[in-house]
Amino acid sequence: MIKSYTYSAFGLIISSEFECPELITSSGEPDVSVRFGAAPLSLMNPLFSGVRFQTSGQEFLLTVDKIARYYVENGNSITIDVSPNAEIEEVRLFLLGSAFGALIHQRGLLPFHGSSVKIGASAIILSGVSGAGKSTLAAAFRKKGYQILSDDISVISFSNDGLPIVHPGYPQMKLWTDSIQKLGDDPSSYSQIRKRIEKHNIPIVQSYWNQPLPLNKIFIINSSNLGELKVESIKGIEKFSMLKTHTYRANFVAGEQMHTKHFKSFESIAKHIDVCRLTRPSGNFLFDELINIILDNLNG
Amino acid sequence: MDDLKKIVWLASYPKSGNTWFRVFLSNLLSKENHPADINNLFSTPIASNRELFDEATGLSSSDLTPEEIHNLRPGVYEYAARYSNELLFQKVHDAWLLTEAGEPMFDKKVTQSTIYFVRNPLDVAVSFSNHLSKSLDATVQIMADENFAFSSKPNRLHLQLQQRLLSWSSHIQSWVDQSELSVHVIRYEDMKTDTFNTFVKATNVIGLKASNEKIKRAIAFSDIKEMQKQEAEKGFKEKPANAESFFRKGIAGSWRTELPENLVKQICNDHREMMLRFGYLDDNGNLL
Repeated sequence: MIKSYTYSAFGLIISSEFECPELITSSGEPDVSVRFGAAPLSLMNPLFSGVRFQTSGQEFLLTVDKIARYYVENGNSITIDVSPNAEIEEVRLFLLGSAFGALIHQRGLLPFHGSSVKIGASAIILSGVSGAGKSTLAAAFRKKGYQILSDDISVISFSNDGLPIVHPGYPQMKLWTDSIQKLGDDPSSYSQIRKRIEKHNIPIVQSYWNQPLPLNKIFIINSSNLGELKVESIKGIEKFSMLKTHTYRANFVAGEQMHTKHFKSFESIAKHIDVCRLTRPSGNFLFDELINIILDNLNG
Repeated sequence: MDDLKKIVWLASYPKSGNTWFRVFLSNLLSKENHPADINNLFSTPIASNRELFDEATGLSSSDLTPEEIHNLRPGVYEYAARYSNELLFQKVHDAWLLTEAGEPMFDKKVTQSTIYFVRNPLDVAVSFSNHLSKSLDATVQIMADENFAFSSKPNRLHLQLQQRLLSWSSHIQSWVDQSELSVHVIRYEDMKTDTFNTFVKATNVIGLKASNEKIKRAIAFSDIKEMQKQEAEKGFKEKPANAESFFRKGIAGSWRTELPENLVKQICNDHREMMLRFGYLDDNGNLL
């Protein structure tokens, strides 16, 4: 019999054929099974195709050259066809990114592109384009003693009343050498995500919050060359478009049923949650000022 | 439009008139009776846009090596072309290169037309030095550096993907002498001195139908003074954080007062062949 490991991540119980040391071990009936096996080279009738993925909603295929193909089905199964000579760390990197992103979409949950931080009895999500500073700002909160639910992907579900709930991801952050140094830490203490990329795995077990929390606010970080530091509430149609833009892999959603569910998620968030634009001066990262402006905004 | 030939590449080494042309295009395509907002230009995204890459590939470019990213970029433009119903303008500062897998990064199968902007390297040096917040000496060195690339520091995540520019001369050569795409070259100096004809030719190359009146109005609305005025009032989001301003002087020949003699010589020496070819030096090596 093949050995199996049970973990929890993204609010799901996962059974895996291989070890995933970045995840927390768990027990209970799995929601998702992850295994090695043969994956199709392509989907028969995809509804939408990108450069390295195909989706027909409940069936999804991701191809990462020289690493693996990930076949994701029905929100409960991921089959990984590993390429010869691929490093297992690299296989897990794309599993816990795009492949789980697809699975979360299939389950009708909303994977939001951002890191979430526990503040008081609820969570905020720090979002923005790649390079805006989502993870770095979350890490700055962590340094101040705040707990982190998730880095990069924040899974949102909805209560019966339609209130958004953020689920913990797993206790690891990924930060670039430069960010680690700016936070006053030593990058060489952490393993690199891949040999040639100066982005590191930071285990955060001590400061990980492992329970779901109500979502309080979403902050979309962007940088300005005018040196501005400000928070402003985003309203109306722009709020909707920001939610769509910052959904993790929004184009993995395919088919009418999935699109309808997806749209309802935006409606619920737009109805209950304030989405703010957090503008920071480009060039230098003012950690204390950014944290204070967020805390003031939450208290105000 | 049923085939993939939808992309108009607006390619140049930095500070060579690309943004001016994009402002002109915005004004040409605008129905408004006032100058287009420089912070809200008609969509002419840069080809090294990280968000487009991540969306198109389904992967985080921040998890990929530069070579893996290069190899996927031709597919990204095919994706953009496939899902667009209209012409796509893409600003490009990358040199025209093959990917590590041997494919052209900017391929003819997605190309509607290509405009390449070239400017006297003596003026580029002055303007680029301001843009980079680097000394003129350092800038002249960068312009001769065959390995120069934007967004290439390996220790951090850049907002844009790595762009290999090569040297000023090699950048031009890469676009103008490749045999895949037909390229319409525009000299910045001709945009200045023969504005109307130069812009008319460019709109014809792209296949935009516009009356002479409309073109004249778009030229007036994209005057350097208008751009400077808007930048002074509200800033320009494409300006590098450390640069004083993006729309600096916008004149041809400012090197005569701003570039020391030794650097003029250096540039003429480094880029002699291309300067001869584009009319910045005469056959005897005299500056024109």
